[in-house]
Amino acid sequence: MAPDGYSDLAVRAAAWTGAGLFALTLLMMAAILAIRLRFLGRERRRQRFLSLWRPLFTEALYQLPANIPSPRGGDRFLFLLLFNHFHSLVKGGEKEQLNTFATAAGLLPFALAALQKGSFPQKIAATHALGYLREASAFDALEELARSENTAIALAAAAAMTHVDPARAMRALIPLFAARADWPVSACELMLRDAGQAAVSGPLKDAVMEADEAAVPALLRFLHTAGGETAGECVRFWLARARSDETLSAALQMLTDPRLRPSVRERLDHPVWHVRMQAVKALGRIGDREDVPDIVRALADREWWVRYRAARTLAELPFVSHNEFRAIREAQTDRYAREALDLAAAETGR
Amino acid sequence: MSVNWYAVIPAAQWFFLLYFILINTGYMALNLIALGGIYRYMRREAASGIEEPFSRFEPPVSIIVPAYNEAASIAASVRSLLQLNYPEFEIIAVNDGSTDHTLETLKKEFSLAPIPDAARRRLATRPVRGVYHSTTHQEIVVIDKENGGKADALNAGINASRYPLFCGVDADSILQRDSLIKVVRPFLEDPCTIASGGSVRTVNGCEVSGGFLVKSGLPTSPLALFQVVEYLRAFLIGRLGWSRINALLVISGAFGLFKKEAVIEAGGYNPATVGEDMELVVRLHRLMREKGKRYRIAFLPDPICWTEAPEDVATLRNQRIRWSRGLAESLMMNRGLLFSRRGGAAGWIAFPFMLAFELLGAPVEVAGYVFMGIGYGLGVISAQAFFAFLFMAVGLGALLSVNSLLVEEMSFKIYRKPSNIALMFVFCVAENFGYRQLNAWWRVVGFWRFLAGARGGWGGMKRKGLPG
Repeated sequence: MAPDGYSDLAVRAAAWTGAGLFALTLLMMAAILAIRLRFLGRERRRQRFLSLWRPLFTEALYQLPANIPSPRGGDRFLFLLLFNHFHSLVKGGEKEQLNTFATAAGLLPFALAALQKGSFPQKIAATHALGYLREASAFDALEELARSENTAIALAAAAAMTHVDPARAMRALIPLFAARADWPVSACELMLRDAGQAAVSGPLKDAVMEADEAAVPALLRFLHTAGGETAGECVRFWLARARSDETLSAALQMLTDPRLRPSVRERLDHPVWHVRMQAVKALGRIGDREDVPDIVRALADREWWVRYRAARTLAELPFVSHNEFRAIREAQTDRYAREALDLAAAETGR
Repeated sequence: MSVNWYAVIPAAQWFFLLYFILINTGYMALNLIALGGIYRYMRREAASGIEEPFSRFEPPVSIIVPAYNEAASIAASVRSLLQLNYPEFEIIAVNDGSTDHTLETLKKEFSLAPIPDAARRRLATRPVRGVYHSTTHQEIVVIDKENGGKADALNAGINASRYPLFCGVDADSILQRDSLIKVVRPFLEDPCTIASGGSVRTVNGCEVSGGFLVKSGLPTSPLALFQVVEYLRAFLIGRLGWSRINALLVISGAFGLFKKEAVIEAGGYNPATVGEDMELVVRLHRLMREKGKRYRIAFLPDPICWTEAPEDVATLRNQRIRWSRGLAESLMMNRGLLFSRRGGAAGWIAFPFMLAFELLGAPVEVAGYVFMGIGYGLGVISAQAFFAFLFMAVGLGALLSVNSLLVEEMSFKIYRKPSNIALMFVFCVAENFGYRQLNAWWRVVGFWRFLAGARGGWGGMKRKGLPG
């Protein structure tokens, strides 16, 4: 046998560790049971709340209920969530009805308090609710939250600001759209569209014209929300001044003014491939018959993407007939050009 | 030379005890990180569930479905993918030289017409024999190529893909309608995201209809039940824990979303390994770290993909041997990441952990059993010592599994019936008697096959078949 003291110690340590681990396991199982019981309790309360409030909300869409109760302490957060949920489902005048109903039920003071002192979910829900309510007194607090490091809070606050006062919101937010790398482009676009062209146009133009060039590509991609005239002005401005390839590409991507064709054609021979590709695509939007030879020339580009985009552009040009397209294809001596045209034809049904 | 067992046994006891303490301290730390992660995630979900902030602007995705001899299920798989709730996607089914009627089935079901193969060959693959486009569903493309394995098929799919993100999906994966919407979210939230994956759960015992899961449940087969617990532990604790420190070394091949350019820059999937999914992710870490680029490999704890767990021992054995070999190959092929200067959490924590505990843990565990058995047989180890160590090992195994059950209860509550929770608790403890040891042995076999340099191919799977 092994009589050594340190071996016995190992055995004792193992036995005690095992006992401790089993005790912890049982404790965890008890925690699981407690969580399940709490969950069931919450579910029951939620069901009770919904059975009372859902019919009232539905009724409020058509006419305000004669008697509007106020949600009790623990139910206020659920009320906030239900208000947001209904708002996401309805449009136009029904939103106004919901706002009147929720205000009468005492939503506003609770939402304002939750915005300042609520837990994380309460804060987010309150942010959405105040946006839906278009509560002007909350604008400054929302603007402060929009500068928060927490992306979810910041985005929710920015979206709410857009609902409350689109013009003021755009002036505050557009510089952030370029500065906040953590804000998805899609979310920014959603806000710009919600704000509407009238609110976006001026602040976006100012931001694009005055921005440091490093921030310009990020701002240019939003130009389509600012209306044709503003977009054209900004594109012209940067097409003439761009020093970086990224700015040039971004400007070409947004270009829709046929008067800029000469400037686009110049970029078909640019040394950077993505500039050439954007130039070909731009010609697809603004070009006419005279530009076809230039687009055909791009079919022989050394970069696959330029060839592919040139082929797609030719396939999609409305004034290039089926027969002309076939003729262009037959005239190609370059295998890669023919392949690109075949792929474009298959994809577009030419 | 005779062995002095009286000197060896205590020293070996201490070695196993210390290794045991080290490995389990590691797992416990991972548990704590995962607990924090799930708390944060659920807190955010509670808020974002109210209104989806990113809807309508999801980037288009190419879904790549590699298929080898999947004639029986490929049409149903593609049909269920067509029903995904996602604004814009294409489905690229890649027939990897199947010897059954996989291609013919696809041609018939989706009225395929040949189109020119003008895709740029950015990744080398076995020759493509033909490319087809569905005349009934614009979003379906089928590639027919010579057999080259799953990695080669995925690479062919990447070459043909049009969109900036691609999603590799196993032909037998069961998804949810919102799986793609969920898995794309990290890409919207952080532009540096290059890959994201989600929790994979076992579909055995669940109700499936029209290619989608409609009701969760537990299987009746004990072997499948053990795997339910295992998947919970692996995904809810393991992967969530690693992803919190941006050190996730594996995204399941069953369902993972990647930034195409990052994968192409890394050279695509490696056909020389049986663990192509893990190898790619480890390589992405290594290359991004070497270049000093900011990147994120994300993991969503949401159960977004369901897979059939084997219910017979032979299939399970083969699967586990492959996984073990895949792990060994992935680590060996990217050993440059280990303690590299710019390795970060991936090179300094996750890689050494995987090497010392996930890969070498099985041989050490088996050696421990053998050692205890021999010692007990020779009378060098007392029954007291034998049972004390067994008690400790079982206690810790049960604790780690029950902790994953706790995390599940705190978050998704997939299994609604209280009887399901009770049954899973029983299996959390029971898996430590026999199942765990069997697994350890299979992992040793896998490791041995890696050392012996065995070659791999498409992993076969005997399926029970799913209802609906």
